Amino acid sequence: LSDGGPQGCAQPYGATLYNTAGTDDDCKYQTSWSSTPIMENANTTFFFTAIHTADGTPASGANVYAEVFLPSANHLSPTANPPAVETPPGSGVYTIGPVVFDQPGQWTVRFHLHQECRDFLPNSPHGHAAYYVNVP
Amino acid sequence: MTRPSLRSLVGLALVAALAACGGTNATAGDGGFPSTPLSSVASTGGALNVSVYTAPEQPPVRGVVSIRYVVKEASTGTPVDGLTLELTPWMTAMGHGASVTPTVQALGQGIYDVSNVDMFMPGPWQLRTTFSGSVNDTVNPTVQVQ
Repeated sequence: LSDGGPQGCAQPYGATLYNTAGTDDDCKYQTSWSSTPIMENANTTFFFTAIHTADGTPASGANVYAEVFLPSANHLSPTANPPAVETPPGSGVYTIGPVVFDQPGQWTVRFHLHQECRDFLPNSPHGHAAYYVNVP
Repeated sequence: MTRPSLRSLVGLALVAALAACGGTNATAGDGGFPSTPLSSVASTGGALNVSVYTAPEQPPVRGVVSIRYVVKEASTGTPVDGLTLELTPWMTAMGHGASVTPTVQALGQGIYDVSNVDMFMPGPWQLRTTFSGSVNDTVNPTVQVQ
């Protein structure tokens, strides 16, 4: 099961992160997240922030997508492709949701940035950062 | 004149619904797949011809998709059953795949249905597929996700 995990740089995804802040898999962005209360079968809203590592400016217009799944059960959240809106515009802060966790456990939320961009070149803005999210 | 019973009306409605759904849009085993494949590809080793169908939409729309393979011997056109199949959806342009593992179900007559295929971004996805058993071969058809 490829939830990211401790795999190293040659793997498609970097390690899934604990806590709420860290770099994306290619160190292009400094990312962090917060959310409304997380409960089973409730609507949760995420607030995801990304800034460019190179110059500290907000990663605005990053076309963020949140991939939400429970690795231990090989299970996807029923809320596929939750809407992501940059709030306010230009801030690099994205309001994402609603997200529903329909089982308890250690979920993974992988935030993809610039999903529209190919990732062939090192300077592609495409990136991803994954976090563990515990659902009681 | 007797009034039709509720049970008979329900039965008629069910028959009508089934007739409306028909069998013309499904290959053997149905499951919501269209009658015409999205593509047909020869396996890398040349032993197999594999027809590819997608559901609920064909071509597929981003999200969780089901894939149907109809597998036949390239030389004779005979359906090939009893194979073990592993499929990895892979987005070559992004250098990553999906985060959940697809589930394979063999239906007989060379039909293999693969569910839980999460192609969550639009664009070209490669279906990296390995067959093992009486035939060991691979196919890597590319589908354009809307």
